[in-house]
Amino acid sequence: MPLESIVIEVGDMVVQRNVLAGIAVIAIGIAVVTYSTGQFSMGSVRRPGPAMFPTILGAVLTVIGAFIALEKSSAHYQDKMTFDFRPFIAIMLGIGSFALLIRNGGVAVAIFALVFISSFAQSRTSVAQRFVLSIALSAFGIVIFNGLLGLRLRVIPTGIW
Amino acid sequence: MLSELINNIALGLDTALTPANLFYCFAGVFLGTLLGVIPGIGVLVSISLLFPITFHLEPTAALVMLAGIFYGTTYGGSTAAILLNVPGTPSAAVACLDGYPMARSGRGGVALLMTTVASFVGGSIGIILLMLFSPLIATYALEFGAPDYFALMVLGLVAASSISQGSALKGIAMVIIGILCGLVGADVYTGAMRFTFGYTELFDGISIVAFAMGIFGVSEIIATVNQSQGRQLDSGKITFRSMVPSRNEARRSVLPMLRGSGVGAFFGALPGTGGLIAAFMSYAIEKRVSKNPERFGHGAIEGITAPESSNNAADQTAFIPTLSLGIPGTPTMAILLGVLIVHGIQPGPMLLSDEPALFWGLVMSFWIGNLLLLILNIPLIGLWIRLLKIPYDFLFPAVLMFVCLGVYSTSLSSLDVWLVLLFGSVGYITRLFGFPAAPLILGFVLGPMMEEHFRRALLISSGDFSAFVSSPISVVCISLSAIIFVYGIWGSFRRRGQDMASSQMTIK
Repeated sequence: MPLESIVIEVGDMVVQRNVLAGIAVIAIGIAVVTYSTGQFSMGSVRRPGPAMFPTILGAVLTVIGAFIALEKSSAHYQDKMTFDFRPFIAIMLGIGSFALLIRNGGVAVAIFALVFISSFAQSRTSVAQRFVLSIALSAFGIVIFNGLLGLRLRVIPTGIW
Repeated sequence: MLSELINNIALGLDTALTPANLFYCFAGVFLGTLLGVIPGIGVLVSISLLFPITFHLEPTAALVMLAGIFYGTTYGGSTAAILLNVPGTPSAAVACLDGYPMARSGRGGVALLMTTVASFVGGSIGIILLMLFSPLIATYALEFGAPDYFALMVLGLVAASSISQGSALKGIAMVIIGILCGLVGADVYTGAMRFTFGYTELFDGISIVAFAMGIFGVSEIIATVNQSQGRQLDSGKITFRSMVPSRNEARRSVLPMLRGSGVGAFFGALPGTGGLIAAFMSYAIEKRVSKNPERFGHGAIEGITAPESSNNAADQTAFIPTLSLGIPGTPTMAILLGVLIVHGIQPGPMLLSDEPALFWGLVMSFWIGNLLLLILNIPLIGLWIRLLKIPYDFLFPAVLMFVCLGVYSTSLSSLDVWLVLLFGSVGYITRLFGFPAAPLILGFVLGPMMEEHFRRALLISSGDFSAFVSSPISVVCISLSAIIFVYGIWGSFRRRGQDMASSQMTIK
């Protein structure tokens, strides 16, 4: 789905995208300033504390965000950049399941989940191919990391052995 | 002076020729070429992929291998460009212009051989300059104070983020966000926990591996999964006989290679420019000086030899500011510096005097690596061609496997895998909004050092901000940064970015 369709209602898309980007940058800048000044000490210019440098950066970021919001966008980005939902979701879910499974599920299960789920990023291979690829890459990963690199990562789920 | 250089070369060879370092040099250039050949896996993805493996090595071996991957991908990148008209790495984009027409007309073998030779020539000239200039600059830099370093870093970051990419403002914003990410963790001076949000795993800061892999590896994969269909291999038969250039072609290539190397060496040492710009520049120069420029784009040999020597020379001279000042000009160099820091080695001018074996060993390994590439590339071209036929649909899950397992293996913490997910989505979304990713990693690596120099400068001057413009170097750097910054903003508002971006796109 092209990103244009999400925000285009408001008017000229080329401008809208930079306005959105600028607002996001401003928000980050303000958040950094607020958090830094609230959480750590500013110190003095003679003896700068941990808050000083981040606060300055946050302030600069806020100003730059304002400029970005006003900036004319290069027309080129719009046809090139479309949000590709399918690979984005598939790969994020794949990595997420790896993160959830790796500690207790072990390498084999975690890689299988990662590869199988993230292979749904494209629709060109069959489910059987994806299944075989997932098993092959699990084995490959174990050989490389536990074998060649000599790491002692858990291979199979806890409780089975 | 000369005897000192000879001693250093001997020391370097001593280090580089140990069986272990030789092996890692070979592994680096081999894996680099292999990953460089595959379109969609560029230098940054290759380096961040193999980065975790080098965690388990000693620092010299780790650097030798990562550097080998770096210049190896440049060699490999042109192979895909010539045979497929798809640049394996961005800096090989120029090789498509004349390389692909050569392959179409059955002269692909010559093109491949000549790019390899040109790469070697460019690489060699770059290494010689690196050997001569780094010690000089480092000696000079020993006298720099905190304000000078701060100013140099500001210049490096501003230049790197506003010169090459579309919007200067977005580049600067990314640098700052990168610096802020680099500041996460315990404060050096007071021990205060900054931006850790209660996660004990973040006390030592965000893992550079997770950061680099998310920003470059994962977001790159998401963006390329659906762009890789419908490639056609136009290799014909590549035999050894078909690689021999005609006498005329060989003769026509000599001067372009030398000019290309010069251009590349210059741009490589500057922050923010590097191989891609160097290659484009030297292509433009060759076209201008040529007696019959109409041949360009239809398989002119100068059109591949000049840019190839240029981007390889740039690869080598990029190490000059990185190793002699500790200030990286490109994201790749930032990652290499990150490796040094992870191994507890402080980058900067002291590196040459404190760790001569590491520095000279690394430099001499460049010779060995370039020589290996020259020897390896030609007989292995058949292998590279076969590799180009593996569908990307099988490759990207393998890359993801290396990313996740690699990150997890460095820390045994699943938080780092979550960080990969976070930075991967941040990298992908910011890309959609036209933000360049490269400045993030530069800011990330330089951020903590910058803050240290900033605070030290204020401590020494007891709070006087004029300390930042107290020496000639800092004045020059700060004013240059200001000029580049203002020019960049001015350019953004005049749609300069559009012209830059479209001129690069048409070539792809």
